[in-house]
Amino acid sequence: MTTADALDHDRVNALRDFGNDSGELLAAMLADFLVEAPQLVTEIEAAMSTQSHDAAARAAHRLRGITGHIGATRLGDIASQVEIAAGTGFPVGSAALVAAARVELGLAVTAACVLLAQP
Amino acid sequence: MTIDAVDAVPTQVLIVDDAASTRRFLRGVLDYCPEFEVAGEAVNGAEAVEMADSLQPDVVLLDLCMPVVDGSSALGSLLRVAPNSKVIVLSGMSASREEPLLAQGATGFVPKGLAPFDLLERLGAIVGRPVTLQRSAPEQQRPDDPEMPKIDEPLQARGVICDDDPMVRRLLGQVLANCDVPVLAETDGVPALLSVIELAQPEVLVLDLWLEGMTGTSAIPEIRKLSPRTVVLVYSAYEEWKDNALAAGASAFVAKPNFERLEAEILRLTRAIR
Repeated sequence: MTTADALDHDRVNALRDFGNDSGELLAAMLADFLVEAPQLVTEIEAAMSTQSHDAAARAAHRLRGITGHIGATRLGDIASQVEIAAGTGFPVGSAALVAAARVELGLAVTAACVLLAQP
Repeated sequence: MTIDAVDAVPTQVLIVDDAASTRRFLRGVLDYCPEFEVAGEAVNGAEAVEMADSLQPDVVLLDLCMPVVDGSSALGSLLRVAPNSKVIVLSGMSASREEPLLAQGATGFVPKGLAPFDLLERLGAIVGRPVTLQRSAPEQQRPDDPEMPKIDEPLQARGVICDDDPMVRRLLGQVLANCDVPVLAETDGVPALLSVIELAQPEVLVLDLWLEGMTGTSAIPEIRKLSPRTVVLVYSAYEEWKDNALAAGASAFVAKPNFERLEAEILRLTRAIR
């Protein structure tokens, strides 16, 4: 797990090359990700600490959705597992899963920042 | 009307999704395709039914998992108020839900997470129109876009957190949320922080001083240079570093642990910004 492979390069290139090739859609999606993903992971953590299963599942579902736009595949997979775990009452191991989401979020955020910084 | 003339009329699409980023993605993709035109956006099933009734779109792109009224609950009402609309379910939920939705009257099911070209091809195939792409820039946000900030609206302060302790970061996120300051990003070290500050230009930074790679104090001048409008609020257990931090450009210092004082400082500082 590294920043370099936190985002799927094919998906990033598909977004960058889409439309008028100016990368507007990619930039917009990366910016949205930087705003929404940290909030959603925080929501998941808060919901888990209060055992609010529905709130955690909703936040994880939304997180999965936005990771799909920019190809944050690993974070999306973890979000998917968190959604399932929340739906089954947070079985043993869920805390590690949510912690993994936080770690992976850090990698994906850094990768997104690096991409946005590129001309 | 000739067939060509009919084909020249874009298919009117109503986007229904509670996630702003997904609506923006769909609009961003559809704006480049002359065969489609976004007629409107709804954020839940109830709003979708109202808008479908008034807009009578050709296509409704319907998310399933939404608050208030979810997509599957809204499907029947959508088809009742807009009987000529094709409802295409666009969801991250399992494809096993496709068959019941088709039985309820949905025209098609498209999974979320498709790349732009793939998404357009799938939509084109479902509505029976081959799609092309125009190479001109899409229209920017519509003036009536609810997401577009109005000039006279107060500025929404946005925050960034930098602390090497994940538990503290989580608690700081809660404190900022209490102050109505959405957290743009959280980092645990200075290198990532500087990138985030430069790109996000947040209004508020809550900064720990003891960080791996570089101390927070030495980072403050760089932060102020990258984003002069960012208010740097130092939250540290080392009260003896307060004077140095303020001299380096920090706007305020709160000694750990004191979340009440921190919340009061954030409210004070953001009131000045707003």
